[in-house]
Amino acid sequence: MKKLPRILGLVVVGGLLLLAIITSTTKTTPLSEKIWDERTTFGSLDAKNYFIVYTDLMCPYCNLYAQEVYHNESEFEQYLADNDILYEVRVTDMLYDANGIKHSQTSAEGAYCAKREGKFWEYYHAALTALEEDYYNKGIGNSKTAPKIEDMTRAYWLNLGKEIGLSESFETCFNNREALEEINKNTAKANSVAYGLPSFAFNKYETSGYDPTWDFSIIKEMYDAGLKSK
Amino acid sequence: MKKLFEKILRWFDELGLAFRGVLLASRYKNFYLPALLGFLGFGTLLNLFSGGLSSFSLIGASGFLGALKIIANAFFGVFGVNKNLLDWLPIFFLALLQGTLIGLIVFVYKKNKEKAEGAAESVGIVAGLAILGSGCPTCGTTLLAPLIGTIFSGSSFAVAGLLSGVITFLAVLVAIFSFKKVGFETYAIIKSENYNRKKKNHEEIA
Repeated sequence: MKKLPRILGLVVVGGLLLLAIITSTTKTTPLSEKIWDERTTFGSLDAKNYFIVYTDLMCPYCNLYAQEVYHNESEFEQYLADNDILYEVRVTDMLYDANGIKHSQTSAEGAYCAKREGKFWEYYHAALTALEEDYYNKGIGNSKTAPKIEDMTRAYWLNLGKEIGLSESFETCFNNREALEEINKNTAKANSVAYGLPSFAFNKYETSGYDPTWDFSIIKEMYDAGLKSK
Repeated sequence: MKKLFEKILRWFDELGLAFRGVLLASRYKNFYLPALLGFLGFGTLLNLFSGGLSSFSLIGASGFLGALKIIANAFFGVFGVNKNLLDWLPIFFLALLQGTLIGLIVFVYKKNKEKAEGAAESVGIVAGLAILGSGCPTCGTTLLAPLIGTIFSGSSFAVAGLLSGVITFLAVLVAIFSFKKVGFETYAIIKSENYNRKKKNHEEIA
């Protein structure tokens, strides 16, 4: 009789685990449709392969992935060129939408306003470098267990634009929150196809989550899996 | 109230004896071999799940060498290689607790099958709960997140994050209770064996 609750517990946990794995691996809509915005892509628009990354500038593991790529920039660019890949980064505010993290939305506003000036990549890279120097290298906000980023202000994202020489129209766009509607629309689209962050759609190979111990050689395994999936 | 206090004291007393049971059992290979294997195996598994299902998905999509690289990466992660200290510590301690529990269960099972009854289910429950709670709750890459997402739409990551915390806490709680029970049995078995051996020696000398 004493055994029954334990067996019942095991069955419940096992069932829950199975259900979680099934829902994690079942997607109804493909992640990759057509390009969202040419200004956030890298590579030829006629490329044979299409790789998409769903991200949020306040998502620590998205940024660890992006930093690993950024630190191996020449190898990454060579890989894209050698394999004829179009690479698109889709910035969302999924962490604001699902978690209430305020600066997820603010950072996306900065990135979208920079995009309107055709300086998305400059802003994106400046954001990654700034977050690394100001927080991650100090052990803040760089993992699920690290202390959270608390002292960030809206001005942090505005100043980033100024530092990379964006014009007054960036400031106007940012202060008037002109990009908000586009962000909301894109995040809603991302939420319907991507489970968790970062999410990757490399041709037909789709996955989400990133292990912070992965180096660029394992990231290349993901890219290879994408190339093979076509 | 006094009875409850006595019960609590007795529980902690037995927990202390369970720790002594582990120390005594550490000399027996029936304990340390399964404990070591359990620790390494479970630690590797938890590391593989630390990025949601991404490692498993990549293992499935990569060739043999690629898969080996990912598994080796997770294995070395058990010792903190390339791991953030705060990410590594909970995985290390959970794997250590689970490994010790497996070692104790194998040890007790070999000595007295009946005493080990039920403990194996606890190992399964701890493993299942720990895996369900792993991943990055903030990023929505816990195994539970998509499941929660189908129930709660808006704040699904936050709910999944909260649940992951509760589930991991439950895993640790079940592991500690099971550890106390099996560790205490181990202590009793080893002490009783030692007593019987000494008694037999005395009888032979006499």
